Amino acid sequence: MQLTVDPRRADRERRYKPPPASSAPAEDLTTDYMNILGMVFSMCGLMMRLKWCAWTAVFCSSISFANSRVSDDTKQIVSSFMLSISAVVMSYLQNPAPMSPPWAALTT
Amino acid sequence: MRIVILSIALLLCSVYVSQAYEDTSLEDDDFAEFEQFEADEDTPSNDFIEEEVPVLKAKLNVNKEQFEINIDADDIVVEDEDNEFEHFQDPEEFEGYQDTMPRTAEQPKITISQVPIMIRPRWDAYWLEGILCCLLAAYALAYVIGRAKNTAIATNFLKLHKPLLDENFTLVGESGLDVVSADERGWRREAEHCFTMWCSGRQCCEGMLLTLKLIKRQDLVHVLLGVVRPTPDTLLIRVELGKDDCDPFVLCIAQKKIATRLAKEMQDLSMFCPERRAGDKHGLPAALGVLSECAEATAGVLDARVTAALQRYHAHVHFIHVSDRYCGPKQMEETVATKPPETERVMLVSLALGPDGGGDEVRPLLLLVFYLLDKIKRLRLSKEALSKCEKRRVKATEAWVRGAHAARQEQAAQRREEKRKQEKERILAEDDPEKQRRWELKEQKRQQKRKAPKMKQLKVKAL
Repeated sequence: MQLTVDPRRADRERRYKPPPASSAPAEDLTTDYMNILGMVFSMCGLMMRLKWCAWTAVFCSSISFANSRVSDDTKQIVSSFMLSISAVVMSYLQNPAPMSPPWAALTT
Repeated sequence: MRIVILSIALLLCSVYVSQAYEDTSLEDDDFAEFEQFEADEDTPSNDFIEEEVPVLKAKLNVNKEQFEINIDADDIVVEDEDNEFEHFQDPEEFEGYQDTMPRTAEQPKITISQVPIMIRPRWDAYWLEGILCCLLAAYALAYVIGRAKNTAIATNFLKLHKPLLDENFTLVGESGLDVVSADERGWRREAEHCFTMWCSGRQCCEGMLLTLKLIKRQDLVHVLLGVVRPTPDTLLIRVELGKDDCDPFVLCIAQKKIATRLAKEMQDLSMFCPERRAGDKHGLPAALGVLSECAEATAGVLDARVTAALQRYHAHVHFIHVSDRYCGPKQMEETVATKPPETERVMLVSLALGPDGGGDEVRPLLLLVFYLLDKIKRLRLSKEALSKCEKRRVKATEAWVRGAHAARQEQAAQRREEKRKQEKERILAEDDPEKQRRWELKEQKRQQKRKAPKMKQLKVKAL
C-alpha cells in the first residue's frame, strides 16, 4: 500500500480549527463528578465532623486533579483540594482522637 | 501493569509495617506508662508500713501512760475558767477513742507520685490514618509514573511515525510551549492521557486531526479498573474532507458491538443507514459489521487491497466512518433545534493500539487511511446511485424542516399559554370586579370557540 506520487500540497494547508462541540465525541465527565463529590464530602466532613468523609474528599480531589484537562479551570481544582484538606485538618483539630475503622462499630 | 504491582506492593508494605509496629508496641507498651507509676507508688507504701507502724505503736504507749497519769492527777487539777480547751484534758470526752483512732504527733507522709503527662501522642493508634496517607502517597507516585509513561508513549509514537506523516503533509504537529515531542513540532497535551496533533497540506483532504487517547495511567483508580476490564490505547483519526473530495454517501465499517452502538447514537448513521450487514458478505472478517447507505459506494471503497488489509489488521480497527453529513451524536430530545445541524464531510477512523502505544501495526493502518482518502476522492457514484442519495438527503432535510416547524409551533403555543397565565394573574390581582367579570366572559367565549368542532361553511347555491 505504498504511495508513489508525492501527495503533499502546500496550497491546501489549513490552520487548526477545533471541531464543533456538537460533533465532538462524548466528553469525559470524571473531573466534574469527582469535583462535586469532593465538595459534598468536604462539607459533610466539616459540618458533621466525620473524618472518613474528609478523607474521601481528599481522594476525590486527587482523582479530579489527575483526570483534569489542560483547558479546565485550575482555580476550581485548587479550591476543591483546599476545601478537602481543610476538612481533614478541622476534623482533627476538633477531635484529635484517631479514626476508628468501620468494622470496629460492628464488633463492639 | 508495573505501576499496579508497584503500588500494591507499596500498600502491602505499609500495612505490614504498621501492623508490625502496632503488634510490638501494643503488647509491650500498652500499660508501660503506668508501670512507672506503680513502681513509684510501691516504695512509699512499704516505707509507711515498715517505718510508720512502730512509731505509731510507740506513740500509743506514750498516750496510754499519759492517760493513766491524768486519771491519777484528776483530783488535784484546778479548773480554770479561761481555759477553753480544758475538755481536751477530760478523759471522759475521749472514751474509747484511743482504741479506734491511733493518734500520731506528726502527719503520715503523703507522697505525690509523678504522673506522666501525655506530651507524645500514641502514634500507633493512628494506623488507619497511616494507611490512608500511604494510599495518597501511592496515588501521587502512580500519577508521576503514569504521566511519564503516557508522555513517553506519545513521544515514541511521534518518533516512529512522524516520517510517514511528513511524507504526506506539509504541516505536521503543533508548535509552542506546551508541546510534547522530540523535535520542535509535536503533540499538544489536552490532558495527561490525551494528546492531539493537527496535520494539513495534503491532496484529497483539508486536514487530519490525530487524537491519541491513552489509558489513564496517571489515575491509579483507572489502572486498577483496567486490570478488571482492560481497555486499549486508542488513536482517533479525524480527516476533514473538502467539498469535492467525496460523493454524498455514508458508510461505516466497525466491530459488531461498536457498529450497533454507532447505529443508535450517530445521527447520520441512524438516518441514512438503517440496515446493518455482516462483514463476511463484503469479504471482511465476521467480527466486522458494515453500515452502508449505498451498495455501490461500499463495493467501491472495499476493494481487494482494503479487504486484505482489514482481514489482517481487523483486531486493531474499531471503526472506519465515512460521511458527507456527519453531525456527531444525536441531540437530546429536550433541546429543540431551531436551525439545521451543521454537517461536515469527514472520515473518522478509530484504531486500537497494541500494548505500550502500539508497534508495527500502526504504520500499515496509517497507510490504509491515506489509501482510503485517495480512493474516496477517485470514487464516483453512478447517476442512479447519486440521485438516490440526493433524494434521501432532500427527504431528510424536509423531515427536519417539518420537525422544526412542529417544534416552533409547540414553542409558540407554550409562549401563548404563558402569556395567558400572566394576563389572568394580572386580572385577578386587580380590584375591579367588573373587569374580572368581563375577562371571564371573554375567556369562556374563547374556550367555547376552541371546543366547538371546526366545520367549513358550505354555500349551497339555490337552485
